[in-house]
Amino acid sequence: MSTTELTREDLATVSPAWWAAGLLTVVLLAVTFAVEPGLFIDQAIGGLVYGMVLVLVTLGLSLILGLMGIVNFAHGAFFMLGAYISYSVVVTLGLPFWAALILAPLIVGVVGVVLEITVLRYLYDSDPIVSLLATFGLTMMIEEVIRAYWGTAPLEISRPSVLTRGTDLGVTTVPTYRLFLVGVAVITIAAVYLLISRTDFGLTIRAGVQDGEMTEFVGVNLPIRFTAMFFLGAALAGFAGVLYSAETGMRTTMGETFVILAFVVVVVGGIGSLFGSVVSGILIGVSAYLTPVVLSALAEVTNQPWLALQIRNLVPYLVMILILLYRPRGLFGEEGFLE
Amino acid sequence: MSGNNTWDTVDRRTVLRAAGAAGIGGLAGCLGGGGDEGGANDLTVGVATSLSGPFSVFGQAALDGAMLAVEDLEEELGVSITVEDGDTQLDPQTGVSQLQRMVTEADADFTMGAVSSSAAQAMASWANENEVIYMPTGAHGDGLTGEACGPYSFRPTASNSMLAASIGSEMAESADSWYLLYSDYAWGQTAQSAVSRILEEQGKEVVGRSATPFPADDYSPYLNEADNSDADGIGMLIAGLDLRKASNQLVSQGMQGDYTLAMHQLEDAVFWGLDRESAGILDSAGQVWGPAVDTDASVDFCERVAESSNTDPYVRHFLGYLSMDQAVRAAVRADSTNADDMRGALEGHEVSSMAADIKGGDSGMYWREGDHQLIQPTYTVEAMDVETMSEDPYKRWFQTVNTFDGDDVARPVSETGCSM
Repeated sequence: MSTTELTREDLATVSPAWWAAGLLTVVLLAVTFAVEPGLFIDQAIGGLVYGMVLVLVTLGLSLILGLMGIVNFAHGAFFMLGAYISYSVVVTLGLPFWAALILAPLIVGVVGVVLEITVLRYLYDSDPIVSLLATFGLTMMIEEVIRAYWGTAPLEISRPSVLTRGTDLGVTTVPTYRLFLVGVAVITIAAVYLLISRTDFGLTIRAGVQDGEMTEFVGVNLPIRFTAMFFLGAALAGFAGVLYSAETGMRTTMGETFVILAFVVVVVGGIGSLFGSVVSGILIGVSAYLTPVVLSALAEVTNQPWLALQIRNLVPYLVMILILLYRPRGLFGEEGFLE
Repeated sequence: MSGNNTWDTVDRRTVLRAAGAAGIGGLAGCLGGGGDEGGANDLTVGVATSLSGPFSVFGQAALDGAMLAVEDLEEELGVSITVEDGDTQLDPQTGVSQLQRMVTEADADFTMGAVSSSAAQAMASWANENEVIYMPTGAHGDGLTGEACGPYSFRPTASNSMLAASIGSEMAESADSWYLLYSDYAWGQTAQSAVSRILEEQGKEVVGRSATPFPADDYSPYLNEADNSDADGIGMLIAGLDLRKASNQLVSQGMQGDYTLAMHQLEDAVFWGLDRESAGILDSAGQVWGPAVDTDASVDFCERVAESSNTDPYVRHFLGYLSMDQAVRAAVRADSTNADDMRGALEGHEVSSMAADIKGGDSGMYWREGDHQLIQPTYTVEAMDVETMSEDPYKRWFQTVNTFDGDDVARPVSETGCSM
């Protein structure tokens, strides 16, 4: 996986129209800050935190897609499975939330391994569309298992009481649990980055993706490494499911909701770039929170109430359209990767 | 059901069945009243409600309450009642399909159910078009007894505007300016409209509104907007268990002490997922019914629900009971399940059954002829002190503050927009 592909040469080729668009964005943000300073700060910080949550949810998908070239549509199902398993761990078994945070990802990882060995291993040399279709089928199977076992009613678990209140940051108060998520996301991203860039394991995986035959020729057992990587990706999805559902509860549509958003984050960041996913998640989170405020401020300044559009849920997709118009491979995508 | 059929009803139901078999609906209007006229001893009742998805907790509780009513009615009236249930999910078209299936395939004599106002409106429209009695058990959107009213749909629960009027004066007394968060679909939109109207009539200001998606996971951006609006109070017009999420996030953002918080329609179950201290964040809340009603009949009903249902008693159990009670009694009074006969038995009828005793209040309940709204008492409630909240034999966390006569809080028929 690459780190940064956006270079000075790229910036030098940016058209005047895009520079104008950038300048306009800065002006709009400045106007918004002048009109609604308190709300601007609240939403900017809230968006930053939400963006890190998106990064956490996306990490497993980005890893499997970026390193293994598998379009893992089952990521959302793994995410949801982690959430529901945490319910069983906490409510049925009576264990604490912290136990669910360890056990659920491990179980989801094992499910991922089973699926990798029985289905995906045979598809590594196929077109990405084949793995997408296969994982789409797996998604439906996992979702039906969840419906059959846990039912369709929304479920929820209690968070540790220390994480249920707010933390005063001076300019605004942010839910302590979300700050906890940000901390966990930062640690997880750092750990994954070190694993893939600084260890023999990561090196051999990357080598195997580029030239599997040569990598195996020098004695690397690639299948077991790919299986381990899929375990990691699935476990990360389950891990994110546990963390996210502890705040929002579990419902049977949470997987499909988030897999789409996760793909948007990966595509905007650039497929194959872990760093791109981080930037993209934050960009989308902040944009989703700030865009309605900007439009509201613009409506107030221009005295045109119709401008105050409630388009928060559209923002991720608008960001994706804008970024892809300028840079079809995403912000930090590798040239030729899955193109 | 057994009995003799008239020509027009035989034709209508035959056409409906044929339409159902052919996969088309809405063909049977103008062919005469639905149901049969030959007595009401063996009844099949279609209950189509949310049994999956974000409202499933509400739908299942209503079904549980309806089954308690079946027990009572069979014992008291000597009738035999078969309940045909179905899942509407959160989808109006699924709701319509379920009603169609119940009437055409399961021979349901009359129907009830739905939690979502959007689903209920679609189902009511189908029932009115096809001359089938339908009670939107738990849908509060004003449209059902307003622009979308119809000759064969009867709403047993209070409307949004009735509940808004109930807490309006308390909201007006407690804060001069309000910010409203509302779920962005029929129920939330009419709730926002009703609460805004009540507040502005009392000279108060609504400084801002945020339409929130439903269901949603993240209420933080909307709470931030409310927090920066300079409002003194926040109206939380958020549907279902999402109110719990929003309340949780409000507490997490440390906002609960800074504002007067109000909700026009409180359902106890929404707050059972919070800790007891957090459950008391609402300063003012309207309610159709709840365990806070402490009549003997209400307490007995709560104890029965606690024994038979997976959830502690709350308003959805009562609404299921009330719907079944009223529909079956109307059929028995009319000695027919013909839709026109049942309509005649319901319009203007004053409720005197066990359902009225459970409901409490002194003003009684009656079916208003002009819009088919069950005029009934409403309540405002507040959280009890944490030490006095009880869990056994069922949860009782709220207590009644005020009781309102139905006629005092319901809009006149002339203002509802209903014409039949």
